[in-house]
Amino acid sequence: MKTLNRFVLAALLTALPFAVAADDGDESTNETTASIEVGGLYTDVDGLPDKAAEFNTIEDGVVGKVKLQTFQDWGAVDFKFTYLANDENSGLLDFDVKRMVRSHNTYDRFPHRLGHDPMHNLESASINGKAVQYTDYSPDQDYVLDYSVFHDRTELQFPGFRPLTLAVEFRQQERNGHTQAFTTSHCDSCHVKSQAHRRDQTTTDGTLEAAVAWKSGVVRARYTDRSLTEKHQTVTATFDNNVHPELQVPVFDNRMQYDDDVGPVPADLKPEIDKNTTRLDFRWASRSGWAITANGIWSSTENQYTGNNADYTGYIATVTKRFGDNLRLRWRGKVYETETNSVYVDPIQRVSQAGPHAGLTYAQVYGDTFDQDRNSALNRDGLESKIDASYRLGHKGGTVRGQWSFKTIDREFYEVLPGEKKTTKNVLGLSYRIRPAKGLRIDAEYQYGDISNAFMLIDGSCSTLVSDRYDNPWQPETPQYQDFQGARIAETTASASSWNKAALALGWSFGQTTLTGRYVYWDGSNSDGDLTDWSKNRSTATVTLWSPGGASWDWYVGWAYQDMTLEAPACIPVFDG
Amino acid sequence: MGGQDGYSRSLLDYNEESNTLLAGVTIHPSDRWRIGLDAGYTTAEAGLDPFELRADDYVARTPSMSFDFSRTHTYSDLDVSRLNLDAMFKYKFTDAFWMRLWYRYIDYTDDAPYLYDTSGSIQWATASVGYSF
Repeated sequence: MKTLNRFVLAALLTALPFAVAADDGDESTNETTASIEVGGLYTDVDGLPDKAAEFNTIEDGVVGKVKLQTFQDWGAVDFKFTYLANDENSGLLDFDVKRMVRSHNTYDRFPHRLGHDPMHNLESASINGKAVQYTDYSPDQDYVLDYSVFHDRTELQFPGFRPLTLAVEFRQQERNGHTQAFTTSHCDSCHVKSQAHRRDQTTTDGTLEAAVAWKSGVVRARYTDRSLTEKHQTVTATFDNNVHPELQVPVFDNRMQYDDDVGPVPADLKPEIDKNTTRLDFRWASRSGWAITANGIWSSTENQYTGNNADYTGYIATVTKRFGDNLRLRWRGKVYETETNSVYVDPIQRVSQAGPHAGLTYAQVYGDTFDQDRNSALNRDGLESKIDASYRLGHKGGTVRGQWSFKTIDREFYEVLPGEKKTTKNVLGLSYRIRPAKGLRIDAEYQYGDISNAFMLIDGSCSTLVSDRYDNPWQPETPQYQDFQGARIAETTASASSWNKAALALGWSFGQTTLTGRYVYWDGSNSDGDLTDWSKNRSTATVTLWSPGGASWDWYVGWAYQDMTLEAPACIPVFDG
Repeated sequence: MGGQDGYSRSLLDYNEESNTLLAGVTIHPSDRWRIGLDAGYTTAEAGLDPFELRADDYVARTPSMSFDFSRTHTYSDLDVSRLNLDAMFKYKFTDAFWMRLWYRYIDYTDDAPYLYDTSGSIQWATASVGYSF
């Protein structure tokens, strides 16, 4: 509702120029048009609206549409507001006052249905007492977020100094409603509990911008402050008592961080976030065919709940040059760095209440506290370079274009293969475009990509551990989970280490009819790691036929097709316990 | 406790396919009236081929364990279709006064529900009059 209020406020402020113009005695020599439309909406739902109306209203009621356009000596106003239902409406307000004040405002509101997981699949039991069960504390809750966004950009330009443009931007996004919050208790059973989490989330962006332009270029500076607030950051949950599923005694307390002995605890945390971004842009073009751009971006994001901070610094430059009428070269380079602070993890050292470990912590039994610095996998330095050259082969010979793209990611902590933190990607491409006849255009493109050390999880699956059999898990020689994990040998991935892409596009206009089509084939694989064996191929095709038909009608037909095949290994440990 | 006896591994094949057909026509034989009809139909299927992760020796030694994955490939398969129909009729009584009728029908059919059956259909219909000045 706040975003709607801001939009109405902006609309009322727009009325001010009318009053000013009247006071100044301006003549309304130009034109004003307006319209209003009112009616009713009837809806009928059969089954669930979760997918059929995922982003649409299902309310009955009044509908309306208002439009106003005026072009006067002092400026212009364009206003539209469409009301379909209380949870689905939109508005637009543009105004211009003597080219000194230019404002663009939009408002959109619609529901997003999230669906309610009944958790019926979480119901099973084994022959020796292990169980999976669920409890839904909000079985009748509809999980819907009412989404709305208001965006304003207002520019100021002063008659005495036209090269300078000042701009203010304001964007407010709200998501109000309920989401489904899950918590899982372990040991006695895998017990998944669900409850409604009231959400009143607001994301607000405020931006100040200044730009100075001259005949051949522009310099722009921009600062944005963003805050994400949540009125209800958590729900409250009480976890089950940790007891052995068969013996029903608290023998596992030293393996769990907490259970019902701490009472209700916060869960489903949605932290508040603050982010600020500074950006500098420079653009310059010369009469001799050179064009240069340069950009710098600095941003800092802070999780208000944990205090964790993520910083980003990036610089981008592009250079374009034409040589004669036929040859054009273009280069784009980018360097960037991301840094997120490390987090020290200090697990709670609980003692077991019963069994062989009664009175002992896990560390006292096995020697591991699992205290650790958890480092960010996102910390990295990146370098990107892309160069392409296009050459026109005479008047009717078409245009051939070649490109080479090079990217490296040098990570600070995360290894993508044993001893390797750096990924290098090279892409070579060749394309050809020709108009062999009037109304006919053909584009053909081929690309080859090669990635050294594509993103992978080292020793992510296939545990080779072969152990003895034990009567119970408390015998000191019994392998622990870290022993199972430590014996894994397979690298897992969802990224190709090399790929091929071919595309063919056609555009053909005959008579008043236009036919467009495009086919793309992509094929990639990765067998660089141990037991990786990953591959994927995809085909996509689109065809559209459109015709204005005649003066009184037009028509179109279209078809889109996609086919994908993925091959990847699955690996499970063969064990009991 | 049966301990661990290494791992079982299998290559999985996952396939997906989707088709979308769109068509529409707008008829406006005079400035007085206008009719628009649009239709769209999408089908999408995806799923794993059946696979096995066998551990025969281990199961023989540990009867309480089962390594039966014969139904696992059906757990996350996808088989949905969606039909969209739109119709609009606008008639101008005068240059400044008009009526508009609008109808939309969407049917979503989920033939392989995952967490629950999300099938449903919905109709919207509006009737309105407008005036410009």
